[in-house]
Amino acid sequence: MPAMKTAEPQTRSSRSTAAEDALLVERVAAGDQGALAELYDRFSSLLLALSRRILLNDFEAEEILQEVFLQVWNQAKRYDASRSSVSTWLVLITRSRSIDRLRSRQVKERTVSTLEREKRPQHTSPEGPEAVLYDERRRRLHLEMDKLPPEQRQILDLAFFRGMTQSEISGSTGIPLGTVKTRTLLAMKKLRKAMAEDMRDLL
Amino acid sequence: MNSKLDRSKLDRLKLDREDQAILAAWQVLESGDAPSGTHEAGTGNPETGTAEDDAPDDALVREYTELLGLMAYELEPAVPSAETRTRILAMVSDDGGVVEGSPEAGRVVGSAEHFQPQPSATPQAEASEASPFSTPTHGAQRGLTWLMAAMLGLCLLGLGFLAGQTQQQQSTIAQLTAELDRQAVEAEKTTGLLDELTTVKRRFDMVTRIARQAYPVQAVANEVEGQRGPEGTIYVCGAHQRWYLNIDGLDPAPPGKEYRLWFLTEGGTVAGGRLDVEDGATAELEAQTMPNGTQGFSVTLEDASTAAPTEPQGLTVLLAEDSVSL
Repeated sequence: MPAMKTAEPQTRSSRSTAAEDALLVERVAAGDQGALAELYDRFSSLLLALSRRILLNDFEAEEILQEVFLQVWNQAKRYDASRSSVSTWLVLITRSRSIDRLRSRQVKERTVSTLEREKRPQHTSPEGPEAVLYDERRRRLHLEMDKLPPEQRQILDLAFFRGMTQSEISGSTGIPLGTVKTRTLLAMKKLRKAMAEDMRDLL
Repeated sequence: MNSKLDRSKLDRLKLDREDQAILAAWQVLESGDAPSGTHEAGTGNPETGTAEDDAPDDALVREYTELLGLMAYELEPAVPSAETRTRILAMVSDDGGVVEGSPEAGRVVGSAEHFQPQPSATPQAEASEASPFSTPTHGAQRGLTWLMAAMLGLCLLGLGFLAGQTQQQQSTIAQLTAELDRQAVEAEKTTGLLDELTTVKRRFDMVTRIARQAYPVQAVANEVEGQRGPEGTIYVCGAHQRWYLNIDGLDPAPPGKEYRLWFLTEGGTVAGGRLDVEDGATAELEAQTMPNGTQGFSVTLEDASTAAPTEPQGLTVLLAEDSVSL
């Protein structure tokens, strides 16, 4: 019982955070610059990390970050909370823009030096309650990703961070397309179970 | 061959609703085409292997979409620079904001699909993003800022250099002007000295010339009150009629008076000019010519206000007549 009591406030807190995010977007849509600033403070570290991971270029990543928030400012009215959380909305916009940038410069192969840099990501821990939530999610996701078989993990990495389609993954790795799809399905199902609580917070 | 086999294997797979939901959500990553509100239920999709009778469940698609969104949380956070935040907020501010309908505002994800990314970028799309109407990118702004700062720095450096050069030149001109003035004074002095030297030399020649004759000029006794016995010599070069007179011990002329030299000739007195006398100095007078038949000299004290006299009217101060024979 005591364990449940301690778990509930955390859940409530996460959900209220997601709701607050949606309210922030509403305020942004109404032209509230302060809301955009707050939204930026909540998600910029996550989105920059994502863009940097995809582009492996700090300057370009910050450019993408700027583009994303300008898009949010101009398109906040089009956000539909029934279709995705703000977090997911922002992540997918950032990923899409980053992948676009990556494709536009025709960089498909990472050099040894960039891989080395990737191993030593420059980061600074953000502060505040969002940072705590971020850290908890990261820890859980990292744990669950590590539990995935390497071949499944590889598929997810190539698709999410390299922007490769399943066909491209199949072509570049030599893995049959059906196997790629099967591994994708398996990995996603496992992650869904493992991250169920986090996903509920976002729904 | 393998692809065909894989496809046939996949087609033989009986995908359940969850599988279809995963693949539908996955479409977000792959194509950038947003699933519609119904997630295209019942249309079938050969790529994803969905079947019309097994349309994906919206809630499941949403869940897997959120799962995809969560994947970014695997990364360690990276805090952007403060400049980025400031720039974004400045760009959306009332003064310089990016407004709806602007080119920047047009760069959005697919029409009604709020969480869908844009279609895969092409070089053309990238180029369009870099149009002059689009928001300047971080790197471009930074580059432009650096360029402007560098140009401004160069301009300031150039202006500073020119100002320094101008100041240095002005200083040099002032120094040269002062030096020129000093040299002019020196030249004037030198000229004066040369003139003086020439005069001295000439007089020296006159005095030391073998052919010259020297006649003493003596004070007229008791004729001038207060005189302390001035005396002098007049040197005459008979062949050339040049002469030179010097007198010592003669006090300066009283106010309103002046000394005048006279040639005493057979035909009368001839004016020889004014004799300036300074206190304690030797009074000197010379000329290149002398009247014919000069027999002596005299110095008189005349009224200064009077026009140049033709005859001596004042007191005779000095006289040299007895011994002169020219």
